[in-house]
Amino acid sequence: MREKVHIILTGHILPGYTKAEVLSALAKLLKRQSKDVEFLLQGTPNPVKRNVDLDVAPIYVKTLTKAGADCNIHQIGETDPSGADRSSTTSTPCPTEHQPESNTVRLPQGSVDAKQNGKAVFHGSASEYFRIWIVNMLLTIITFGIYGAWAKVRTRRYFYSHTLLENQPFDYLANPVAILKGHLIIGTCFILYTLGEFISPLASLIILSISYLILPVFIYKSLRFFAHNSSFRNIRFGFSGTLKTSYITYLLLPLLIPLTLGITLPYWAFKRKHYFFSNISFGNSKNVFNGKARPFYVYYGFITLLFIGGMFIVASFILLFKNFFLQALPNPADKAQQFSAGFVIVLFCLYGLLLFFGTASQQYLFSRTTNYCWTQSRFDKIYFNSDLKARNLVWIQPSNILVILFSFGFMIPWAKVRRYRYVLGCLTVINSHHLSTIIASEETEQNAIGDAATDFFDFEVGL
Amino acid sequence: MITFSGTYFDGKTSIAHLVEVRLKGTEIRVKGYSPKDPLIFPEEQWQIEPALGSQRRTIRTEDGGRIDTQDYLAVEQLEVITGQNKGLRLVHFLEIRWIWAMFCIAGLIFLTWFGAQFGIPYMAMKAADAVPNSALNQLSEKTLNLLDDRFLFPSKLEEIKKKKVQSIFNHVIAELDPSGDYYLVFRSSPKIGANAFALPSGTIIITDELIRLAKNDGAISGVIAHEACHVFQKHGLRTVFQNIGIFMLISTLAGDVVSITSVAATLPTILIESGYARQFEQEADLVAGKYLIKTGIGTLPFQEILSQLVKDHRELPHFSFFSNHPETMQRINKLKEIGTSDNLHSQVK
Ligand SMILES: [Zn+2]
Repeated sequence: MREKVHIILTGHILPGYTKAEVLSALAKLLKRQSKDVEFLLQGTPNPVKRNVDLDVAPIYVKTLTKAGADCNIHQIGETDPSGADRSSTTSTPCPTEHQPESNTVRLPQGSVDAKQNGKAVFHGSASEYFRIWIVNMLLTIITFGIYGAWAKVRTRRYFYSHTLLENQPFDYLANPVAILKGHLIIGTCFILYTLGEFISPLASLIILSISYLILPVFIYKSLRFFAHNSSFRNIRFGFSGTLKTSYITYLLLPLLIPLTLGITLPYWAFKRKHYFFSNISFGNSKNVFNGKARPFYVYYGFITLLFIGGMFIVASFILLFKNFFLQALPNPADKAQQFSAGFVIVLFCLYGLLLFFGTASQQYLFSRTTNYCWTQSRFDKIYFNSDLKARNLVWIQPSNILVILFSFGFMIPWAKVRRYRYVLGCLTVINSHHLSTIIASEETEQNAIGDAATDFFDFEVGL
Repeated sequence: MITFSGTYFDGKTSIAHLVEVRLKGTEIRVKGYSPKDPLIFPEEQWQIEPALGSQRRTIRTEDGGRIDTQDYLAVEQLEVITGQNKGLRLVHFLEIRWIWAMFCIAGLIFLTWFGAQFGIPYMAMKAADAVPNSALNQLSEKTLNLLDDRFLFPSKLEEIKKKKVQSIFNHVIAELDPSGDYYLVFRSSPKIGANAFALPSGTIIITDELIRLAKNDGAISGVIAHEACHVFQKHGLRTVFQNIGIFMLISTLAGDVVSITSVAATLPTILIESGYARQFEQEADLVAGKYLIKTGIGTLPFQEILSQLVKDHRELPHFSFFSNHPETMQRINKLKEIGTSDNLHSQVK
């Protein structure tokens, strides 16, 4: 193992710089808002980068010095200057705080490279997950779907418990019986809807509008269930959003979109993220979410411009080859209605292009909004950085779909692990050592109906 | 005595404590958490989490604590001693061996095929039988009203012609399903063109266009026999239940990643559903063909009207007499087969 050091900001400004300059430069470097980095310049030492290889440390020092912030390199093993700062700001200082870290290192599984600190690492494998997946499928089919609830818990548990952060796994604690009840209710609703469709369009319309009306309840319940049943270091996550906000976010705002001709669509996307990120908590520390709607308008605006540009290119292409298309169009007088081969090929290409564009813009929006929301989140002193690249996701997703198609679905586990590994690998937890100072909040049991509902409505909470 | 080391989380703080766990009788003792005495949990106060993949093993205690360990052997012994997780231990046994995974793949393929081929059609039939007649009547009435609103207009057929078709209808029903409750309805429909529909209650709708297209009575009796078969075999309801079943099967199989495979999952659904529809059409054609041969008309008039319909084909709603355009040639060929088969001939005679 190579020698590791921490980069420490002394909290002082170098001569020749103003505070505002340094703040904005630091904010830019750390991808954060100026007011969130203010505490770094208040005269007390703070680590900005932990466990850096000694030979790359000077690069950090150079960059920070250029920004006007005084900093130094801190050898691991010396008394931690941030330690004093930690116990002074944590409401309940723990005397045994340093014990877990030293303990973990002594455990056999603890010999993980210190470089991974602050990064969640997925230790599962596609082949191992494949076997779990195939057994899940078989047992679910044999039991007419009843085992599905257990299968779901096992799948989630597999991904959670093989995801290690600071060498500790996450855990999923949901009771399969609760999920089974949820599945049964959703299944009944689905059968009613299908039968209603057969009986009369009015009946299915009524069932559809009722389910639309109760959708916010499902989402609210499912987020609570999801958060409450996720744990790390045996401390549960929590979700404190209200039902009222859920109704505003999932019923009122979508209704406004057609009325405002789509102008509120980015705002809706923002509010959905806001509902999750601003209400999630870990133990007794609630997430402080500083996200604003404006970046969402930038991301969606970019996609809209791209779309208009694409339409323009396609339209001019069609105009350019007008004669070719007119010939290729089916002759209305011809009863057999045979399309010419050229027309079919062009249609096929256009469809493929549209599909690719749709997937690509979806992945772009996912990566941008996810990155933004994580960088704007802060649990007490723990904050995050996510650097998902749209181009990587644009490659991963369509190739995953192709692989799944050509393997008749048997590569689904591989595709899932591949995407999960990438998304997880882009997330960095800054100051992750603070994770060992979290205290549990009081617990309440949650209902699983909502959790199943999210599967049917394909609601994505986003990592 | 079983002893192993692990990490203990008390559930109140996120601190990890290195502990030593010892099994004494059926109680476990956790040493290393509090400086003085070990924590003691009697048998009913602790629970082993089922094994999964290569994750470290976990024991939960009733007060919300959690012990993690990588001493797999020790925890397996604990499981055997206390008899916990019997079912899921078997599941884990299957999950960690490739040979069993292979058996599972084979089993899954077989069960999917068997379910789509026999299981779902059988259950759909049972479900269709369970639907009470009153519900069928109500449902059919609503469907007829809907069709009247959108596609159908009052018939402009002369009374004489109507009477003639009605008498053909009565003959066919008397032969095929005398105890059934059938009702003939005349409608005109420029939108749909020549066609006939059967509603589950036994109402059979024939369009004026079809009657005009038919060159002889044999063609009309063939169409009516075909529709009557849809009624007494409950094809309409069975289709609905089968499609629900197939949707459930496919979404169970693809359910894990519905978002990225939804496009891929619709294709097999469509293929299987159209396969079911084809089966029902064949069954109805067979009944019609047998009826026509038995009454001495032969399948030729029915073949003719099918090929005429290909030329007249327009947009169609569900459960119509003529729905699968490219397959009509196949249907006609099948009828020819029935018509020329001596074996069948002697059978029905
Ligand atoms: Zn038919």
